[in-house]
Amino acid sequence: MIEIKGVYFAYDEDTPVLKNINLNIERGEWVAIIGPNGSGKSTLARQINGLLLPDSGNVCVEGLSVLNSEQLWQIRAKVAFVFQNPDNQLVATSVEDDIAFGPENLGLEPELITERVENALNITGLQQLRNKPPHLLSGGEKQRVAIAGALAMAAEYLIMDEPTSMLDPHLRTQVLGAVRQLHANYNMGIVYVTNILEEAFLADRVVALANGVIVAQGTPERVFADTTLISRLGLELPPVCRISSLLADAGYERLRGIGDLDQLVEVLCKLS
Amino acid sequence: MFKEKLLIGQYYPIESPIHRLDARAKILASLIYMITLFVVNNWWGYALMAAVFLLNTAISRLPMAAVWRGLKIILYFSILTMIFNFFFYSEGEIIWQYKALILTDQGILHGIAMGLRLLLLVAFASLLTLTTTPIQLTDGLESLLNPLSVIKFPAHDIAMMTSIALRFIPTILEEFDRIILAQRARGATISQGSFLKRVKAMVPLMVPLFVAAFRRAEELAQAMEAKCYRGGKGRSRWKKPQWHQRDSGYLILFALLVVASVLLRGI
Repeated sequence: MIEIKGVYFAYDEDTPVLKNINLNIERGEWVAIIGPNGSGKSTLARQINGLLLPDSGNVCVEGLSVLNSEQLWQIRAKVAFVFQNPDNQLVATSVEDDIAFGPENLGLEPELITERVENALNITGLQQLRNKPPHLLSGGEKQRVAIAGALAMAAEYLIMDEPTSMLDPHLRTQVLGAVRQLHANYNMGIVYVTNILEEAFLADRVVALANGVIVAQGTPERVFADTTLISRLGLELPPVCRISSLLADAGYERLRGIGDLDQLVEVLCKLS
Repeated sequence: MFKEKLLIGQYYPIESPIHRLDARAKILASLIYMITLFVVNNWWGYALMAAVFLLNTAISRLPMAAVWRGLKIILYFSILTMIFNFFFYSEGEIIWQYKALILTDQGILHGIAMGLRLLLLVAFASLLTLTTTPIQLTDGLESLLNPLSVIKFPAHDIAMMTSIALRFIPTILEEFDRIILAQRARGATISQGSFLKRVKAMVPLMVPLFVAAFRRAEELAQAMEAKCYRGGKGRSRWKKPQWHQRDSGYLILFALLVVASVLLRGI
């Protein structure tokens, strides 16, 4: 479990970015963190694996604390991180070497690294690209390499900081597909930072952040049903959600919060 | 644009006995070859060195075009060296003279020898990079420099820096091309005007390039830290370089080359 307890954080003293954040994330849970730019989403994500340390409060992962410098490295082995810019997180000169980079840092035996790299390549469907240099990959492929790297670390949690914001829509589905698979098959806990609400819909729980404070949390259906909150956050509801909430406002309460097109159609058909 | 121009001498992926050799053997052989070039002092010696280079190229199965592409630039330097040596070597019989410029028979021979030396030096070094992947090269370098870590020489860090530099060269060149296009779109003239004007035109290109490179560096450092990178400490290698008998054999051949070149000095 990830436990974020009373975390305050400021880059410079006068303007706190996170103010008393309390949040628990179970293993195998998929949590989406949404909020406008500057709300502290990315900062919060970086607290979890100790890339940034809290000014007060504490963050624990499986009982290990980020404030203990030895435990911090154990946390980083458990919590993988995929960044926004696909270009600046690949270290090695080929796909397979980049996937091996994390396991090498953990000091694993070469045989075990081979096993993990093969496994990660298979799951993310990157076998064909294994010898390619990063600059010849598309953005979506680069993000999948980053995800494969997390997999090879045998991480229990995967934090993703707007991983699709620099990608084309069709590449976005590619990346989301890979995340879905990890979540379903490996019981990986996922913390997904985004301001695209369609993506947040895939989560078990949505946490809305504004000015460094958690302003709402719950299932996507429940959080997105509050249209005034969503527009106050400056975010845009997915089209299906907008239709269902308009219909709900017009008197069809049962439709409130539905975000899935098939589900909406089904409920609509039953209405008549 | 810039990308194609600068990618010469880069790894040429084919199968060959030279490609299969351990990077360390190839690095050491190249070193030996370069040193031997300075031992050689007559035409027999140069002929031997040229033969060794050609034989290596043949065994590496590289198309001559790929090797040649990398040599074009160095050929200019080589010719320049030759010309300088023609006119600044005063021993021997004077063939032609114009004021302070003297051309002697020995000067011509000396110039040709110097030009050839430079050409062979770079040519053999380019064989190394053409037949060895960057990662093998840096791994080999790290492994060769590792004994020096006793005197606190940062072998691992240097190897890691080199491999990151190699990884980002194409990425940053791509970015450079993008910046050029962006500045052109704003009406900048980059490849026109006097030399000074063109140098000045580089400023609006270099500044964004450096800013972006620093931002990249910081993000990369975070990504590496997130993947538990803490320097060479506690780190294992996935693809350890493997030394085979053929590598020892290759080096023995180069040791023989040194002996042969010393013997040829006497002729």
